Amino acid sequence: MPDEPDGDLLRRFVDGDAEAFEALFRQFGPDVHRWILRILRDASAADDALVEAFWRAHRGRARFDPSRSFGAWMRRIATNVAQDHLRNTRRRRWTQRAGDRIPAPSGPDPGVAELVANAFARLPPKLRVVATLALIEERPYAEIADALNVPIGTVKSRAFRAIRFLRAELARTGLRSWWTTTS
Amino acid sequence: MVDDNELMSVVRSAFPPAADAGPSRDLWPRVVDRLQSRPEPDWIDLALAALVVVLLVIFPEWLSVLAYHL
Repeated sequence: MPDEPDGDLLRRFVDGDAEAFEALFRQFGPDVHRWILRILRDASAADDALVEAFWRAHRGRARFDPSRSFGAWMRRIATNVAQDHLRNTRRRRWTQRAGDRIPAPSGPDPGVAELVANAFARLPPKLRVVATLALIEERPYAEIADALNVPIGTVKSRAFRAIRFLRAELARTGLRSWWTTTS
Repeated sequence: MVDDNELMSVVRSAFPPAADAGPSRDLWPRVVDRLQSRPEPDWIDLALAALVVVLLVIFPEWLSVLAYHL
């Protein structure tokens, strides 16, 4: 996240100053977008979520304390928006929208990559956010906990449950046979 | 049994870390449009409001109870 803006800018934002809000959007937008993209892995969806996140920030600006970190607050909002997006699109596959997506799964075997993508798509959104950030993006638990506004123990627990879920799903869908033939 | 390290390895190779330099275009105009658009009423809120009105018509004495809780 960029350096924290000065208190005057944040107070003007809380008071509803449009120029202050735009300045914060320009300063924090790219990093918030990057964070959302890490979770959603779809550039078009990340654009939509970024707009939604800043809209929610503007709507909830009265609850923001200018003495706290704007970047951390914005990241929490963005994480909630991304989680809501996953919840709303749970039945769709990640790789459905060919036009804007992040490079498609490119594992050691395309079939294996697809099995992994399918297993991820079946994860409940709360576990999926943690699994994506912890397992794929390798973000520290503390950072994930701060973004989700939950204790680190909760993040560890969700990561553990996600791993258990993925292992069961991959075994069920036949990845075990690939494992035994390649190792 | 698949161990955790193998599982992580397969997952990471299936989904390379996302690289992103920010949005591909200026999204500020979309934020402004979103701020200026009127929020669509939630049908659940509307249904609850309608239910309250109907109940108050049927049981007007409940108005004092409702007023107490508001």
